[in-house]
Amino acid sequence: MQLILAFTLLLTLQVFAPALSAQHNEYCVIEYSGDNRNRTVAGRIQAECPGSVHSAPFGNWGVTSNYGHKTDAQQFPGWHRERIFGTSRWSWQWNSCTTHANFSPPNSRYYNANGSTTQRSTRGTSRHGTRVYRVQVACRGNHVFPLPSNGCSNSSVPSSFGFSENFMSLYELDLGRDTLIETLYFPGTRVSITNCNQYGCSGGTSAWQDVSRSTSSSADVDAEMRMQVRVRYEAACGW
Amino acid sequence: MNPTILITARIAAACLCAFIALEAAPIQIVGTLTDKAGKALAGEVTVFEEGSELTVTPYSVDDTGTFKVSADTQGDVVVMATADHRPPDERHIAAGTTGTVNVNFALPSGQHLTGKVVDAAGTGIPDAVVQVRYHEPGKAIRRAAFDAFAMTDGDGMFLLGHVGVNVSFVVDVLAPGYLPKSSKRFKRGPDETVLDNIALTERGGTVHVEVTDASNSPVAEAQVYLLADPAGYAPAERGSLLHGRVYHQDATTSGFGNVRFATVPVGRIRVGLYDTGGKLHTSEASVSEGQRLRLAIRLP
Repeated sequence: MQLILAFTLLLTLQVFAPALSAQHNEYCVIEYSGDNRNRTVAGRIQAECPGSVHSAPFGNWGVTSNYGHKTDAQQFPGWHRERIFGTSRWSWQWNSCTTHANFSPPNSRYYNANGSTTQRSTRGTSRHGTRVYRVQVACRGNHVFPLPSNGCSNSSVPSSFGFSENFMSLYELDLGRDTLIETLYFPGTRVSITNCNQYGCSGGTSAWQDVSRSTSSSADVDAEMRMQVRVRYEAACGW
Repeated sequence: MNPTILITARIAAACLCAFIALEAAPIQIVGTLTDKAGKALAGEVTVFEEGSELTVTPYSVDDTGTFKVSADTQGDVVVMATADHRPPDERHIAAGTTGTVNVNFALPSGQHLTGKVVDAAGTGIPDAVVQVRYHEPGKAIRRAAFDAFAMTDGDGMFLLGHVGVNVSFVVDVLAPGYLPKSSKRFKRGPDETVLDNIALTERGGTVHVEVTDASNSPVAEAQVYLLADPAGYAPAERGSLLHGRVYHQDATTSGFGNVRFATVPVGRIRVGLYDTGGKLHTSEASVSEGQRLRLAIRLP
């Protein structure tokens, strides 16, 4: 009889543990970032031209993507170092008015590649955003009756993380009057999540992806992007 | 009740739950993206489909503010909405849900806020990480829709972008040498852009861990984990992305086989490491404010 009762108690804990601890959960945090490199700009860009608010033609660009929103943080740095208008800070900028006669190619002052007809960033790999996603892992106990946790080795943690498609919408930043240059789309990226233990997992980095399509037929912006993934444990319940 | 019947019923319930959880179910997610006044917004909707593989799909929402996307509810689904200059939001759809699910987002407008992180003497603390967290009693902890981090400058000042107007929130703060802290609750109307100072006072304890092998020689390059018992987490701190960073720390042993963890939360702690065979070795202790604790782990 005692054996049956003990078995019943064990089964109850195993089957209904999530219900017992419904208000207590812990998480494995997937941190995913987007990087870009090999940035080039050609074609017709009409964002920072004479007659607009300030210093044509160079402008500071930002990126809204599946990794975060545009911000003044060198998400898509250019090649020409210039002071950001109205501040004491410097940034790497792009000629953002290639349609104007004064700034159109070829011109070595406003273009630095392909016989002074194209702009090519000199700043290497840049991160355009980082976001996190929490995978919920039910505690195996609660504060009254704590049980050891499996942490990130829990079966709820996925074996991979990926986007079905990536995008980067490029903006010339202008103090609330940002101008959309174009949106670049990239193939999906997926990274395996391996070696999970209580404290985290191994993530990884996807291969670099080329642009698969874009929204503009006149602007000719190119870049490569990749995704980086890290997984860490976030304690949020008793043990 | 007869124990045999009880066990049978529980096994049946468990099997039924497992069957439901494994059943793939395509759903249509239909909704709107608007501001608080109901005006349509352009932006993005991102769908996180959990399962053995976690797949994320971003969708653009045009200026009609309407969207209709499909998803698979083999696991939980989280739908996140974002729009320029506004705080993001999310909705959760439980695994196994079928049919059409209506998900409407009304994002508040955002504004920039400034504030200052100070020590007990009122001096600004530089290099502190700050993040807005919306106070949402009764709602599930957010999984995807977080505001961006900001850093304090040399004077302890920070600037938070696109914080919801007329929305209740706290500011989580994590600074070098201090335990993380959540501010009091704020709610700011249009153009009320300055927050009260946030003072950090608690520094927690320091834990030194020495790792040796069976011959009492130091073990170098070993990854040591520290877990602090978050039982002392105030309910208002649940959901913070910053507090967890001190409740779970890891470091690699030096050539002398030791690591040092600073700003360890007060209360029970557990340190541990995996040996080359994958077996976990742990040591437990209790830490008080200002304490310098030494622990030793000897591998067999």
